[in-house]
Amino acid sequence: MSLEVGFMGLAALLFLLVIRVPVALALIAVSFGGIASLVGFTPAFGIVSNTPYSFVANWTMSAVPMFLLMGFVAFHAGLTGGLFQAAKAVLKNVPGGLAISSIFACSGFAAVSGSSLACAAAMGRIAIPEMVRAGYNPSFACGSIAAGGTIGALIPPSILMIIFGVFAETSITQVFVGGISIGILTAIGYSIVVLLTCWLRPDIAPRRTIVEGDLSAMEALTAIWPVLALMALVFGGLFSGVFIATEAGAVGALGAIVISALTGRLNKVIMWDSLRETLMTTASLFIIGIGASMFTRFLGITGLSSFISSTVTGADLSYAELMFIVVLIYLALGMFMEPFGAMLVTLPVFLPIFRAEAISLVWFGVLVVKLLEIGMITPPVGLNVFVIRNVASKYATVMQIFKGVTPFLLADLVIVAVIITFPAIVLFLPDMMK
Amino acid sequence: MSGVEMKSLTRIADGLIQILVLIASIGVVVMMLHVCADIFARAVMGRSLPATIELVSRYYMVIVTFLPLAWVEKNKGMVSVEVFGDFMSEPVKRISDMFIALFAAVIYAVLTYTAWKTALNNFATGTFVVALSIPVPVWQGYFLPPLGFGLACFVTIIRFVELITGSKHTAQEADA
Repeated sequence: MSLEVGFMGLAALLFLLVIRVPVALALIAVSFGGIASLVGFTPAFGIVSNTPYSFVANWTMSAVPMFLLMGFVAFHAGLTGGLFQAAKAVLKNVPGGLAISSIFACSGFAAVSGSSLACAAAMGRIAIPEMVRAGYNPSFACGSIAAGGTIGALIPPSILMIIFGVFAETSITQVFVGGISIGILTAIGYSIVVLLTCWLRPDIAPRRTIVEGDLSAMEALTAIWPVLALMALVFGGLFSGVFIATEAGAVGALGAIVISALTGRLNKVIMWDSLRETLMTTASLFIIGIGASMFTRFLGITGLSSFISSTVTGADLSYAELMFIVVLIYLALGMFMEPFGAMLVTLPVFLPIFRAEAISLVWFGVLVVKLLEIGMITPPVGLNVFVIRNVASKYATVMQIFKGVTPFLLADLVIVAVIITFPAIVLFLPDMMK
Repeated sequence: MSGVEMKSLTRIADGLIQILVLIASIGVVVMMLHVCADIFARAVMGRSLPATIELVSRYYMVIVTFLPLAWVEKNKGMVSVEVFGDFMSEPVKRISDMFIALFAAVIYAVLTYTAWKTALNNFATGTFVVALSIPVPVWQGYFLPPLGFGLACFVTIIRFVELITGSKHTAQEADA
């Protein structure tokens, strides 16, 4: 009986999402209705009345608005503008140097921003016009930066990882550190795609090296000092133990504001825009979190979460089979949902399975973030592609950008296979910290 | 309710929403400064500022999340799966928009009601937490969720009415 209600709840949730009810409200409605039908209205009211406050009044979660503010200030004030110039100076003799520079500039941006959208938008604006001028096929140019943007959520700080850490009750710092190697691996994988394209299809990605805008090593360093200073402040303090991951966001946000002000990049409009975007993202994210937290309770009461995890355990699925299912589900959800919704809707079901199978949740967190970020560039809903379309509308259509992203998706699938086959590639850094 | 009354009510709500966003923005900045000050005090003077964790979680976090809620709802900032909207014809989409607005209003109403009851309970007991043997009253924060949910409920009711009557009040487009 309760299991049936659980499955009906999942079906109702799916239905509400398909008819475009906001994810948060769909989760809350299904949880409330489900709990009320199972154990009565009083407990249902109890859960609905307690969860909003208790979910939000959370110290660990306070890192989310702080890291968001840091990223938005860095983005709007243009702190990261020099990254692309600097990367070009280093990679000027490499074939496909412009595309590879933009990918590594994305990785640098990722270290001061927790989301991939800002990363794609910032680099897209600077790099795409230059790549097209240098003879790159616009579809490929846009695709490389839409893909490069996904590194934003893999290299710490990462908002997705904070929320994962809170729900999985695992160390956020460890998930952060686990993301570093996968972020770098992704950047290398994408660079290989660029090199191969240069080699196989020089009409799409010209081999010729960078000529314009040469910076000396010294000039390059001057161009990126604001980002380096911010990274040194946040990660230096974090790894030396002066402050913890939860506090690092506040330090980073203040650091971003001070550095922007010192370099004359800050004004009222930039500050106001950054604050409003921080509030918009925080509130819409946390209300989904509130819904997901109620949904976890609902699935717990129905016994569905333990049913699914015992079924999976009992089915004696091999590791490969289990992972295949997980990858498939996240790739499918990623096609239609934005990452936070997709993650929070699925974690109540998946976390018990992974706990039962004694698989590292730090590793799982990094894998989930990687899979969700792939969803940022897969059609029909690929948010990074839409962002690139917005900042580079005169260069390519949405369809052309999706086409340009395709080779990078192949690299992503290889990286996912590597993460699953060699978990140590994620875990060796977090293990070293222990 | 006449159109004129609805318009002035909407204007009052809009003003309130803007004020709350302003307070929440200040909340973000103060949270940042407070956490940094705490780190500084710990590193330099060897001891934390009292009740930082409690203030951050029970005041700033609640302010930052619930005060802008109606503003987020008004600017369609709530995350939803939009892709299926492309397959709907205009009339179907309109009906589905009406349903969503009504559905959201009901959910927000339930949330407002339950959060309000919770707030009254905490007010009655004068809920506080103890931080380093100093009692910190925290019952005030419980009133912010019902405020946020209530205003969001109002915004979705207005949206529903507008969709039904086909009218649109002018302020909606102007505000970004």
